Amino acid sequence: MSRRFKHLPGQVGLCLGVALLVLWSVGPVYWSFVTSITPPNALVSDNLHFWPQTTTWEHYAKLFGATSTSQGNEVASVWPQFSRAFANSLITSLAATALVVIIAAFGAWAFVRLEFPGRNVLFVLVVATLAIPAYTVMIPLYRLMISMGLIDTYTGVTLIYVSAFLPLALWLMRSVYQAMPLSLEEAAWLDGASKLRAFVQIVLPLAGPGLVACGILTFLSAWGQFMVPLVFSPTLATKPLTVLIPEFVTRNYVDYGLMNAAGIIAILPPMLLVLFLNRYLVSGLMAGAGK
Amino acid sequence: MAEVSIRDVTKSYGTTKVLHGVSFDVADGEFVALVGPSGCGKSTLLRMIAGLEEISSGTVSIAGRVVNDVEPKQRDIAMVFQNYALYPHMSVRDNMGFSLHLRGASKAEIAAAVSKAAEILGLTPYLDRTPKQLSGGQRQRVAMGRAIVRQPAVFLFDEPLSNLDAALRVQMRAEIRALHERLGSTSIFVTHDQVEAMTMADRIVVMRAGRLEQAGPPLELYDRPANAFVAGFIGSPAMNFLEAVAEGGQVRLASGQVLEVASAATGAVLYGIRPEHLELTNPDAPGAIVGQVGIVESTGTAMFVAMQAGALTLHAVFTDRPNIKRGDQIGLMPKPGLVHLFDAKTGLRLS
Ligand SMILES: Nc1ncnc2c1ncn2[C@@H]1O[C@H](COP(=O)(O)OP(=O)(O)OP(=O)(O)O)[C@@H](O)[C@H]1O
Ligand SMILES: [Mg+2]
Repeated sequence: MSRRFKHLPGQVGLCLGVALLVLWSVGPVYWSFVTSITPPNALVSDNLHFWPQTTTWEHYAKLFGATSTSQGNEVASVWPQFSRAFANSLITSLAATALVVIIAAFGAWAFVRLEFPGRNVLFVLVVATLAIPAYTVMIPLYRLMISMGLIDTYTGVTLIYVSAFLPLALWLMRSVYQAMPLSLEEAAWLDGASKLRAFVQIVLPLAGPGLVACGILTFLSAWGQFMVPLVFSPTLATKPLTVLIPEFVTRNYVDYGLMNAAGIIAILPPMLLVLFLNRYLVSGLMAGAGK
Repeated sequence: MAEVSIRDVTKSYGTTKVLHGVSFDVADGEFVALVGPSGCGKSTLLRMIAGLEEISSGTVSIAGRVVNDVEPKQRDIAMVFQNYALYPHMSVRDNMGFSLHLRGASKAEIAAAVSKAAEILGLTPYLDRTPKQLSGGQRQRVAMGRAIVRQPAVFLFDEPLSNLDAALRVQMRAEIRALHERLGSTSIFVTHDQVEAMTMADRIVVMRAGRLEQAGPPLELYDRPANAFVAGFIGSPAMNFLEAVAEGGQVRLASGQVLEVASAATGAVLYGIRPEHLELTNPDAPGAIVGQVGIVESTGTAMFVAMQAGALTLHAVFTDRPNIKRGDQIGLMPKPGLVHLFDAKTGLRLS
């Protein structure tokens, strides 16, 4: 048996595993896409097809159209709602992401480089909040938000996202900074940089991949949030896509085509973000600092 | 240009004291090597001079000004780190120009200073590379370049050569020394390699376990070590130490042999003789230490011989390639005037 085939069983296993994972994650997306281009009557037919026999863009037309028809009747277009919710999703997710990344970038650095009493206890407390299930704080949080008048505001939703996703980002960034040699900063101080300057010009660029990872994680988590906006975003003022799309289910008709078309559109921003930021997730930025 | 003065400096980490009151001065333009075994506090002391480590007590002054509470960036010091600490995301040019940039120098000034430093260090072809595209030796030069580009008052080096291969070390040793002569700046160079210290420094400061053992010019430390530790640390191969009892111009070795010494010391002593100060003689020559040849190693220029005299082992170095081999009976004659006597208890020099 040649060397090339010695690892064959392992390789077959690996391929199988990869195939399963791809199926697991891409399958639903594929199905959603197929549903979104299938005519409504074919959707409720008895025999399912892996690829629809006739395809249609009518669901997308309904989503983007100025007017639309539903079951033969002219109904109000969903575009105003959809576009509003899309914007809401973008605004709250981007705001939360920006805030989390900025606060984690500076906060984690403080936890690593600044000496202050109770530093480690404080950090453990912050990270420990990750273990608290969201629903246990829902009711007190609701009362708090009401008393501050933050229900159904961008500020309110964004603040909740930040408080929920910041601990993980802080944790991640702390380990990024801990892995960075202090001597780089010291060299910058001796070169004449203030501590802040050394941080911004030397540490931050090298922490780039960590920051990008934090950004991606936070954006994806915020974009996919359902329960928080369900409670705190009752109207279209701040209601995101995740809450709006299920509302396409009406009392006597489930518009699968429309829901899935909306779902496919909703996948685009996080997908583009990940594709765009992926190339900054490179490792090995630290190479060359030492001997 | 500035002199550095260190007065009774101590350092404690919590309850562990790692420096126990060190004092020495570095004159303006002097090249001082700080040597000592691993963990003796060399890096700690250097970092205190740089302002990267707090001073527990005592004072560090640069150019006559006490700098204990002065930020590193205001001390006008450049340091070459043990691990270089190059900025990995910047080109060699930007690494070297960073300090000038921070001082608000103009683009033209920076470019001129960087290209001059690069020329001195032979880095001109590499200015646009990033550190990871350089070899170890080239990185070492960039670290040097970053230090010399702005002509600081004081240069600090923390074992910059420790990871280079032997040939490169010798080359860089000469280059650093030449650079020092050219720039004339005050330099403090930490190393645990005594050959580096001997060859490069105007003055050597020997430390052990957080204390200063002796400070002086290299040859003075070699010729008149203040104590047994310095005697053993300076010089390679290391000095032979024989336990002995001194009385009336004579010492009696543990083997029972009696040797003449030019000293009136009495009591338990350490009899020290450098390997290169032992002469090969016949076993029956008067005053010779007699024993059997053990391991013989030859490098071509020198021959290292270990001689077994009872329980004692003596190391000797010969450059004339005598014809001896393992098992031979030989005599080793200490050259007169080159014997060192130290108090057996305190280790202090007696003769
Ligand atoms: N942060 C710290 N906390 C406690 N002890 C420390 C700390 N840093 C250094 N030490 C101790 O201080 C002593 C001196 O350390 P230092 O790094 O100055 O040694 P060194 O002479 O530079 O050694 P080497 O030649 O190995 O670099 C060591 O015994 C070390 O264990
Ligand atoms: Mg050290």
